[in-house]
Amino acid sequence: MKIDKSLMTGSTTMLILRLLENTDMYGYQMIEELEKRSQNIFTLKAGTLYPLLHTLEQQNMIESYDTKADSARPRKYYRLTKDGRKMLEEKKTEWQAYTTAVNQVLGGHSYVRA
Amino acid sequence: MLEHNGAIQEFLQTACNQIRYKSIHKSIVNELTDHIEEQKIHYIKLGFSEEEATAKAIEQMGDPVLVGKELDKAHRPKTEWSILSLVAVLVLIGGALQFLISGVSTDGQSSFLRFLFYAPIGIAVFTFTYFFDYTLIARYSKQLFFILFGTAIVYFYFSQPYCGAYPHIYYFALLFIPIFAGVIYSYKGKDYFGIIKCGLYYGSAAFLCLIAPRVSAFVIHSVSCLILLTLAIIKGYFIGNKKISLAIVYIPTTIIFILFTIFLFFQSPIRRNRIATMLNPKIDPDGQGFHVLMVKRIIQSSQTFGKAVFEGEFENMPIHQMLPGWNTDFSLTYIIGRLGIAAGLIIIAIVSVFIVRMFISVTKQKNSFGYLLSFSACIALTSQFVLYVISNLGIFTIFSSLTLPFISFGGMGFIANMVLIGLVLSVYRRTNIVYDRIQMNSHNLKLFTFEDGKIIIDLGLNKDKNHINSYRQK
Repeated sequence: MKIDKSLMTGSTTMLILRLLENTDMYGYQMIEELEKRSQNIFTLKAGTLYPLLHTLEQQNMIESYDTKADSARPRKYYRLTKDGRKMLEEKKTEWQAYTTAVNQVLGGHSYVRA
Repeated sequence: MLEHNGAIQEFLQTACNQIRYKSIHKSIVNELTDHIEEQKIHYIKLGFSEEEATAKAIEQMGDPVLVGKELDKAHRPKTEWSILSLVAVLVLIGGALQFLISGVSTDGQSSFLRFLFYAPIGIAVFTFTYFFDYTLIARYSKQLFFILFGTAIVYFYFSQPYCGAYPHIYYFALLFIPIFAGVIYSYKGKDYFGIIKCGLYYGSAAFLCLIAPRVSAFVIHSVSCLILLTLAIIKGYFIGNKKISLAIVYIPTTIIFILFTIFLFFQSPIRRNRIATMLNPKIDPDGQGFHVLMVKRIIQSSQTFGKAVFEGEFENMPIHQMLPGWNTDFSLTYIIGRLGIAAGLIIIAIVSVFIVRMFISVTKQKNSFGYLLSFSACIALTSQFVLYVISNLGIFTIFSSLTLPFISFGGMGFIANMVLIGLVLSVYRRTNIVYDRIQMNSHNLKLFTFEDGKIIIDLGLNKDKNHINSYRQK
């Protein structure tokens, strides 16, 4: 199913932070992982991802480091900072409130089925 | 070897053309190339030909112009308007003060003309420092140290001692502080010997202050360097136990300080008198203690608004005749006596806000060298403000002459302080830009060591890796 892009823009930051919550990742890995976890519903363009990652890094939500990975070139990994964790929690709460409200408007309590 | 295929090159070029900050280009190209290459491999595995895979991988990236624009937004230089405008306000106060001084008496007559002469030079120097890539200080800290050291020594021959001391060392001591931050940074990742070497750099600059002799320069320089080194140790710049590292710094410092005080005390009766007068100015009211007692008198007689009202022998005496140094070292006292406490408090308030804003800008700094450099310039400025205000309020006697940054008289001091604030703002400006580069350098530290103008390359097992690192290093 194709999803309207504008639906995703608001939550991309949260999704990225969530991906980094448990493991450090590099850009390509994040896109792959996101596709896998959303069963191909979220396809994030690299061109959207990197500016977002760099902005989050400026805001001190995530930080990057180079590793000498198994491959020939060192990869640029990203990790969540303390501030980032806080931001993720806030975003999650905000999201929950939002989806609950949307679902209530859409169809009472039947949303639970989905 | 990074072999960009033509189409990938074109994509990267188009994207980078949108990013105004050139210093970030290399790091972005590396990251995006990594990504495209990986995507390409993925498509090849799915059965596409190399050409198709490349085309699809690039398509996956999105519109290069849009990507570039977004990245440009993330890496835009930042302007600290509040500090910038506070500096402007302080410089204007300085101008107004020099104008006031010029009209008072013959010994201050040329003050405003001199201000008109050195202010543009200071602003030009500031502009240069502001736009200059401060990471060069990290790269060439030792060279810069020796250049400054050499210039300071050469300057001795061209400068006239004033009251038995060479005044220029004060300004050099101020400039040594940010360079010392660079020296510390160059020993990042080293062990205890790194700390000792930092100590030697500090010691040589401190030695210049002592032979000049400029005690205030020595104090500002020593305290600033001590704070910087402590900060570097606490932040874990040096390998090894932090407590031992701190001991390496503080034990010799304490011993030297005690020995030095004892030496000064017994060296000559004049010094002993000075120290005794510092503690109690009343024992020598007409000599060493004269200044501080006069300052105290002016402060105590001052009014909220307007000229101070004196009683007794000074009743009709103008302040500039009561207080030597009224137009230089005691400008703030003069302002309070002449214009009232309110005027003095306004200046102190502006200066305090300025100091707070400076330190806030430091805490926003994420890359370690920027942090250290900006911090060093902040302490250099703050310590001058604090010492000046303390001595001008008559809280404590300081014999050496001082500068109230941007406000009090003096071309060299003005220019040196413009360099310092230029550094603070230059670091802030590049908050979003320099980050990656510095980090990369620190990660490659073991591969590349920069010493005495030579790049020492430690070739690892994997040649490819080194090549890419050297590519990133440039």
